[in-house]
Amino acid sequence: MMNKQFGAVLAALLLGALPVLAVDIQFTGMARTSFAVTTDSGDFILAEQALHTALDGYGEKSAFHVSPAAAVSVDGEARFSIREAYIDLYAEFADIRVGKQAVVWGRAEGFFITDIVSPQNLEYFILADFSEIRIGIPAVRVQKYLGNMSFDVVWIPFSVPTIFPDADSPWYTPAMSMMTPHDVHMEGLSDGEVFGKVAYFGSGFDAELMAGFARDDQPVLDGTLPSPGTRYERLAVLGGSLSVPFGAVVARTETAVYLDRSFTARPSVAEFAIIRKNELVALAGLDWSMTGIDFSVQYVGQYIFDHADMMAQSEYRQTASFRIRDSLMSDYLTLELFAYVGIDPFDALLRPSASWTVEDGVILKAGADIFLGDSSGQYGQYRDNTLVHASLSWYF
Amino acid sequence: MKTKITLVALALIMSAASLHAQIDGRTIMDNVYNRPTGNTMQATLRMQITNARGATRDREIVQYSIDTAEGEKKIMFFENPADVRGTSFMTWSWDDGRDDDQWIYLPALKRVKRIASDSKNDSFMGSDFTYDDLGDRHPSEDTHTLIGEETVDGLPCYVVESVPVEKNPAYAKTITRIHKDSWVGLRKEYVDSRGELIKVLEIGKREKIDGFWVVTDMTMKDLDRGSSTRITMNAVRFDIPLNDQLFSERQMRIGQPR
Repeated sequence: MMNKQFGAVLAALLLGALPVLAVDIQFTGMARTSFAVTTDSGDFILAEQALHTALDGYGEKSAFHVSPAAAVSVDGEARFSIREAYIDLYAEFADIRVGKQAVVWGRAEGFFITDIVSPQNLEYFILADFSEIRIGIPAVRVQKYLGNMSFDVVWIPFSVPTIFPDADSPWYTPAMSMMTPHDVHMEGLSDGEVFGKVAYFGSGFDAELMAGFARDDQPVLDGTLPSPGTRYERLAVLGGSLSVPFGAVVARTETAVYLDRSFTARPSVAEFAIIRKNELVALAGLDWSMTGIDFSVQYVGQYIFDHADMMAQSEYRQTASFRIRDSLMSDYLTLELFAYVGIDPFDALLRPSASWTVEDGVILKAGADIFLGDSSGQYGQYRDNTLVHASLSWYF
Repeated sequence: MKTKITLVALALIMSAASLHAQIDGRTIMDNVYNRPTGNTMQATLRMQITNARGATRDREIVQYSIDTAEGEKKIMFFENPADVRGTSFMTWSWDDGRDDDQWIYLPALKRVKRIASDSKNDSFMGSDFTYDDLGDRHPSEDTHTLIGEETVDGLPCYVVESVPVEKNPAYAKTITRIHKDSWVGLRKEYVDSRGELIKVLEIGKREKIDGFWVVTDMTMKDLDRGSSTRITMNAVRFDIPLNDQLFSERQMRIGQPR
């Protein structure tokens, strides 16, 4: 609730300040009709009209951005949100961004390793566009550029947790049953989060080093009496990423160590108390292009140090991803296959799709999200939710 | 006195004619490559792609480039169509033979991504131009032979055949008509390994802007696919003051200067 109020107040301030701040205004957006049907039951899992807009203003030393979004489902349920609403100030000493903003760090595609500043909207699991998965957070961001180096500090005065599916959603799982609603808990400045990053961007390679003191956006379940429930615990994170070209190939790596991260104990353990451990997450990936077709592979390994048997999460987790993408017929047609593969237990999410440009700015897309494998895996658990989808988007 | 001046002028003409007579393919292409183009440049490119059925798509790009002590930096901001608006593409090219550094910024992902530079033969934005067609191909990448002289649109031209040095080139050879006075290529033909003409680049208009010759209207025709792409350049400016910081990750995210 606090987050929505913050966004609304900031949007009002921005709109009120328009004539003073900006000399150049741009209004853009996208209207989209989407349908998705499960192949098992034939049920509509999604049927909605969405409108995503963006109002940008540019001054000499400043800019603003507001991006209201609305969606109406066929049953008449309407949703409105302001995804981002911020002001940029380009001062002599640094760039300053104040307001609700989505922050994207790291080099992983489809994985969130050092990219943990903004929480995620997982109402549709991970099937929404990546641009729609990230939640804007109220924050102050200061960026300083010195030659090929940049320094970035983000202060989030109150933490915003990840959004999970509602209880009547097909993406809801029993593990989410104890989670409390995803309202922001504002407990004063002591509840805030701070992230910092140093980056190099130049010839031969790009690299980032980051650190953060945050509240985990993913909750843990604390079954201890007298107040069992969901907890968003503190953690510290150190990480970095690197991107290096080797001829026709770009190699990427991204690593983070989460210090003193909280994990849920297995429910069979008495009062399943929270367990704190250090966790390592590391990614290695390759991107290359061959005869005009783009390929990408990624491998992610997760390891919990000093793992205990009572922990609900396994000591090791391995996931891979694969993407192949080709544009044909002067870019009118784009074919893509993106796949996540869980290695132990073995499961997978295959996402083939085809996009057809009807005319400039009008795109018809169809595809499938196919869940396979072990039902205890993060993808296999949704085997009954395999779906086909279609959408028509109109950009302006 | 008059006779003396005439003789001097005649001698100069003769020596110039002799120079042209001795010129070889590599020298011509060196002259084309080294033709002055200013230290900085700004232009708005409109690209119209027409497929075999006659359907057209438009692209609009604002481009900036700067010559540095080590090479050239270029940044492009995509303005239209709406679904690619906000995308930017940056290249740093190096004179010392290092591979180009290339990045793309996709606003939907809010991320600057490094991409491999070894994709010069890929289509540029679905057009009939490849990245290599739009770049400054160094003369050392081909073996050049002067095969004749012709007139194109009333302008005297050298005809130069260029055979790529690399093992698996996109084209077996190209044949270029180069205007003798301005060192601007006026027509280029692309021939495959079977000796068949597969693409033709035609120049619709060349202009002298801020003292530099520049092609402001060109069309690439793909004879195999029956498609064509026309690029027109507007708002062309040379030697404008540009800060090196324009060619940065920060600018890719912010967008073109306003």
